[in-house]
Formats: sequence, structure tokens, C-alpha cells
Amino acid sequence: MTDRAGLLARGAVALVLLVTVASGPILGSVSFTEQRVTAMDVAPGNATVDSIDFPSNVTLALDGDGRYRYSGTPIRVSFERIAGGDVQLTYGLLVPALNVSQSVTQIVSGPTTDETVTVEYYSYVPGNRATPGRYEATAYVSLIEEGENELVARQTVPVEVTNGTR
Amino acid sequence: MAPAENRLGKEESSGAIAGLAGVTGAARRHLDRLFLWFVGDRTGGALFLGALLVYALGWQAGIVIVDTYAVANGLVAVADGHLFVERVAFGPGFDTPGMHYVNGRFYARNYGQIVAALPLYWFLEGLDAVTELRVAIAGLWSLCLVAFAGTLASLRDDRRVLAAGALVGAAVFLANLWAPTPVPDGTTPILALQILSMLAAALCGVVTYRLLRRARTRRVGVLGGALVAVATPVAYWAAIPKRHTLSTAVVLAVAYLLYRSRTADRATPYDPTTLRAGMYALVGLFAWVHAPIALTLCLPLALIDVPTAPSNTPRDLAVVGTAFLVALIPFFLTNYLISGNPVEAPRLLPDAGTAPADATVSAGGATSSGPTSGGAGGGGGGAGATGETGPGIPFVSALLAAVSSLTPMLDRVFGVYVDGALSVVAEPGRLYRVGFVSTGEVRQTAPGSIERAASFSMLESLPLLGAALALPVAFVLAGIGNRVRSRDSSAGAAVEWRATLDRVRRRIGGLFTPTEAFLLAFSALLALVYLPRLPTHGQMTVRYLTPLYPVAVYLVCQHEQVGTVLANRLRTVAYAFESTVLLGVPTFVAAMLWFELGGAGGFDVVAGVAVAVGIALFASTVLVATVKGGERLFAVLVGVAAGTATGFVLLSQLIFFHYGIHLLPVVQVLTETIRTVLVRMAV
Repeated sequence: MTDRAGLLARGAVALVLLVTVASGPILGSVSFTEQRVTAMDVAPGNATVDSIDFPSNVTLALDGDGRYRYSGTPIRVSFERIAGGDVQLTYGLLVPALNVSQSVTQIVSGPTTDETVTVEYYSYVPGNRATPGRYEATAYVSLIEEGENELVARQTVPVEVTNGTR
Repeated sequence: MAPAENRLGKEESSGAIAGLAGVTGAARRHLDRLFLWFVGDRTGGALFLGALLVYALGWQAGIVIVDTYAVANGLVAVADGHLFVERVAFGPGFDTPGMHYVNGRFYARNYGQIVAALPLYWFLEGLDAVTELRVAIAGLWSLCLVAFAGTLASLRDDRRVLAAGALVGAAVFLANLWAPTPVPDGTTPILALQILSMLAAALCGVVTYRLLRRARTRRVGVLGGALVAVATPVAYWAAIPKRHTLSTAVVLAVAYLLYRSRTADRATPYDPTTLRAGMYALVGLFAWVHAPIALTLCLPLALIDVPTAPSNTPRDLAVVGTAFLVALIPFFLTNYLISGNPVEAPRLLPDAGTAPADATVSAGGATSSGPTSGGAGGGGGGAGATGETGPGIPFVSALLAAVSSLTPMLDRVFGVYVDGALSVVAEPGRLYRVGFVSTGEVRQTAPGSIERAASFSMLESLPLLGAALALPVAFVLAGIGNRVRSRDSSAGAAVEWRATLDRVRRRIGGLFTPTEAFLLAFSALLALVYLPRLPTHGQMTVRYLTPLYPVAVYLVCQHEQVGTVLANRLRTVAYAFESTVLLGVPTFVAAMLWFELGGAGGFDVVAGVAVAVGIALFASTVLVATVKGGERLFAVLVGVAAGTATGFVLLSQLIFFHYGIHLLPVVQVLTETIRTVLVRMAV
């Protein structure tokens, strides 16, 4: 007697296996997913960082409920060399006491040499309300180069929190 | 071609096909046997596969809690061939919770968990190389469904179940192919950790089933296993890449081996000594994941196992001790390679925050050259000062360092239990907030935050806890009742104190089996370890105490009267559970829309319902266990309590918490739609 349930099960397993294998690069012609943009497409270059100027002081002035006005000395990243195409630069600031975690990303075009990039950080950042005073923050710079994300440097930065009335 | 040659060719090809079929059949039989050894029997297999199917519904590619960054980066490092973390694949940098800085290098922790996830990582990398990973994961889910249906079909002896499972599996797979987005690049380490966690969670249900099946009956086992798998916070943590389900699975597996080593129905290859060696080996291996919990497991285990073991001959103790020490070798070796001290786990080493500001740059640019070097120490209170350098024989100096560091370490470890006990005495309100109602309390613990943390107490996370808490009350009430009855019958008789003392002694001896005593002692010690630190901001189901939830379920099912009632009224429990989940969850979502409840308000309502159900269950359990009344209501309440817990898990994973794309595209579409509707209604 034919085991119809068994046949159905085998059919389902075969369908799953065949389609799964077909989705991969072995057959190549079948794509079931939307076009994937990889980090390599965006940032294929590689860079040598010469120096990084982290902000020596940052002020966050409370500006309404849940956001702060940001001001600080400029953040500059000097590249000795960028080869092979663009790289993606990320600068981030973490202030745990305020639950601030904001990063800004920009593409730095390559190839080039002796290039200094000034990071355009946000004018306002969202954060929790905290007592005015001095807090500790961590600033970091990371790069996506040749499709790989690398943390280049981080530094502790003092942050002055004001109530924004001055 | 001549007809004879043609026939020969056909015979050769049919022979090859038969040979291939034979090899496939033999491989399948071996796999089947291995799977059954792992899960016990087909019922255990159905529980295991069913639990995995449920967990995968909430599986999202992402990290929920920041200390997972360290473990994920550690997995990347170990996959690269070294223990130190050289590149930050996840998170904002090296300085994340759980990362440690020793001798100029960053190290993760939970290396046992990392190594256990490594084969899964390689498997996923392999899949990613030859398939589209999102499609492959959808395919694995459908294959799992077909296997689940096949197991159920053999249990019920009904092939229609298999046919239905195959059709649904194929249909869901085809639906999943409807424009899925790819899995985000570089997330395979997280996915590997998540799969490990899901496997461990599914194992929790299976081990509970196997334990209760032997201690009670198959029906009680099925109920207990299913409750642990889908109606406790084990299900909540299943798809979250942390260690909680792994800890819970180890605790239950140790309890199971302890039970098996005390009973006569052992399978022949496993004598009590082998089983005991197995449980100590598990504890030893678990030290590689989380040494403090391993110690908390080891203490009650040794204290209960040795006096109650069938025999403690020198050979028995040698076998058990050797298994324990051998299992500790990976732990010792990892510690030695990191800090130079075999007994100093990464958890005890300086945090990454102690690293100098420029440490990341030098660490990132460092070329790999073996394990730790240099004796800089770096503010670790002497941790790792020995390293692998300095004069003399390296291993001897490490051994001396280990011995000298044991005294403060033991002080610190045992001090934890004392601190826990003192904090409970000094602040009993803490027990209330952690155990019963946490609403409104957590805000005080996180002064920097304006957000309300999602922090369920234990009862809010598991209303079934109400039944477990009722057991001691029922025991005391039953004892009082017995005493009153015996006084009535022996009025005027002289009290023979010696006979009374003997009776009390017999009672205490017969009160707990070694397995129950072990689980209770472990639960108490684990609670003492974590109580001084609880409640924390965002503790979410009091995650540190996750192993206690299956213990509560086990104790409820194991209770003579309560377990029997549940086994007899299994169908009522199942109907109540299904009704609560299938009607309760959509009704709750509709109520959220109607009353415009946000996430926090929704949580409060779920918590309130859970507490109410837990209290009702408490009262009902006392009734059932003492006067044997209200059995039907009790069964309904157990089903409702389980359904409430499962509903909370589903709501959390599908609606409240969104931390990455759902790995099953169909679920992603569903949850996105629900969330969009909720947002639009709120606006």
C-alpha cells in the first residue's frame, strides 16, 4: 500500500532542500531575497589614521524634555592615506548617566593622502533628564574599511550638563 | 548497444541506488537512535522539537542586553583562534560590561558558552556560504515541523498527522520565500549563541519530562515538560543570546542524573557511579560557563549526594572525583592562559574600564602572538601578575598563585551567601519586590533613567509559582490536621516522647528525596547569591533566578496529591491553557488598542493579571492539597496560569520587544503589521 503521508513528507523535505540549495551561490541564478548591499559596496577602501582630535570638552544644555543642545570643540580625524576607494567614518558619544548614545556616520572619499575630516556632529541629542553637573562620557571613532568595521580609538571625555537657562 | 549490456547497466545503477539507500537508511537509524538517547523517547522528542518551533517564532537577530557584546566578541575571537578579543565586531567598543582587561589585552567571559556555540557558528557560516541564510533558516524551521509531525504521528499512530505537518511545513516555507530580507551581515556569532540558548531551553523541557516520567508518571512528565518549555521564563530567554537557559538545563540535568543514580530502574550501562560521575562532570564543565553558579551547584550536590549514595567505596569516589577534575580542565586551562592563575575566572578579573584610554588602539593593532604576556598587572589586585613570564617553572608559579589566591577568593565566594542571608533579614521588603510585585519599584534603582524598566517579579513572570508557594502551607496545615486527629483518638494516653521523636525523624527523612533536597538547597543558595543585587533596572523576569522556575514546576508536579489531580485532569489544563493563549492574547492586543495602552501600561496589566491568577492558584492549591476540594477549578487555574505566562512570552517576543529582524520572514511581516497598527491607533 502506498504510504501517502510518507510521500508527502518526503516531498516537503525535498522541496525545502532543493529551494534552499538553489538560493545559494551554487546555482547562482535564483534569488529569493531582496538585493543585499554589503559594507564592502559602501566602503571598499582602506585607511591609515594619523591622528584624532577628540573634543576636549562637551557641553550638553537641556533644551526641552528629553533633548540636549550639543556644543563642543571640533572633532577632527586626520588620515595619512586612504587607498582603494571610500571608507566610512563613524564618531560616537556615549554618556551613560544621560542614556545618550548617538553616533554620526559619514563617507570619506578615497583614494587620497593627508586628508583631515571634521566630523559634523548633531546640534541636538536625545537623552534622559539629569542633575546639572559634570559627567563622564566615552567618545569613539570607528572606520569601515574593506567592508570590515574597526574601532580605531576611544577616549574618556568630560561632559558638562547644564539646565540650559544660562 | 546490445540488450545484455543495457540490462547490465540497469542492474549496476539499481545496485548503486540500493547501496545509497542502504547507507542513507543506516545513517538515519543511527541519527534516530542518537536523538532518542538524547531526548529519552518519542514523547521527549516531540517536546524538544515542539519547543524549538515555538522559540523560533520569537527569534530576532540582535542583542538585547549589553553584556552580550562581550560574549559575542569573544566568540569571534575564539573563532579567529585566540582567547583575547582583538576586534570589536559588536557593540560600541571594548569597554562593555562583561569584558575584562588583563596584561594589555581584552578578554570576554563565559568561555564554555562560547566554545559550545562554536560548532553552531561554523555550521551557520557553512550554510551562509552555500545558501541564502534567511532561506536556510526558514527551511530548517519547516524541516523541524515535519520531524515534529512525524514524531507525533508515531506517538498517536496516525499518519494523517504527518501528512498535515508536511503540508503545513511546505506551505509555511513557501510563504517565507515571499521577499525575505537577508540576514544582516556579520550576525552569525549572535545567531549561533541564540541557537545554543534555544537548544538548551528545549532541553529544559525534555529533562523535566524525563525526570517526572520516572518520578511520577508519563502524563505528569508531559505536563511538567510542556510547562517548563513554553510556560516559564525559560521560553522568554530561549532566543536571547545569554547563559540563563544553559544554566537551567545544567541544573535540571544534574537533578535528573542524581535521581537516576538513586533508583533501581537504571539502564544497564549506567551504574550509579557512572551517573554520579556524569553529574559532577556537568558541574565541572559548567564552571567554564559561570563559575559562581557551578560552585552553588556543587556545594549542595556534594552535601546531598555523598551521604545518600548507594555506595561510597574508594573506587566510587575516585571515579566521581576524577570525572569532576577532568571536566574542570578546560576551565583551569582557560584561566591559566588568560590570567596565569588556573582558579581565577575572567569574571574575577579587572573590568575593561580599567584599561588605559589608548588600549583599544594598541589592542586593535596588535599582532597575535600567543596568550598573555608581560607582568604589568594593571590594577587588578594582583590578578594575572604572574602570567607566563618571570623566572622559575611557569606552571609551578601559577599553581602557587592559585593556592595563595584561594583564601581571599573563598572568602569572597562564601561571603556572597552570608551577604545574601543578611540582606534578606535586614530588608525583607526586597523579597516582596523580587518575588511578588515589582511594579513601580524599579525606577528607584536607576536614578539616571526616565524610562520605566520592563521588570517582572517572579510571580508576575510565572503565576504557577502561586501553586509552588502553597505547598509548604498545605504541608503545615495537613500536619496540624493530623496532629489534631491523633490527639482526639489518643486522648488520655501517655505521650511517649521517644516514639514522637522517631516519628519526626522518619518524617523529615521521608519529606524530601535527595533530588528534591538538592533542588531546594540549590534554589536557596542561588537566591542568596543574587538577592542583594535585586531588583535591578530591567531585570526582566528576574533573569538571574531563571533556574528556580522549572524547579517550582517540578515540585508542583511531583507533589503526590497535586500531581495526581493534574494528571487526571490533563485535558482540562490543556483546554484552559489553549483558551487563555488563543483568546487571551488577541483580546489583550484589542484592549491595548481600545484603551490606548502603551508598552508600559500593557506590561502593568499583564503583571496584574499574573499576580491575580497566582494568588487564586495559591488558594486553590492549598484546598486541593489539604481537603482535596475544588480539583476542577484547580486544573483550570493551572491552565490559565500557564497560558498567562505563555501569552506574556508571545506578547514580549512578537510585539513589545523589537531588537532585530525576525528570522522567520512570515513572523516579521506579522509583527510589523501589528506594531504598525498599534502605532497608528496610538497616534
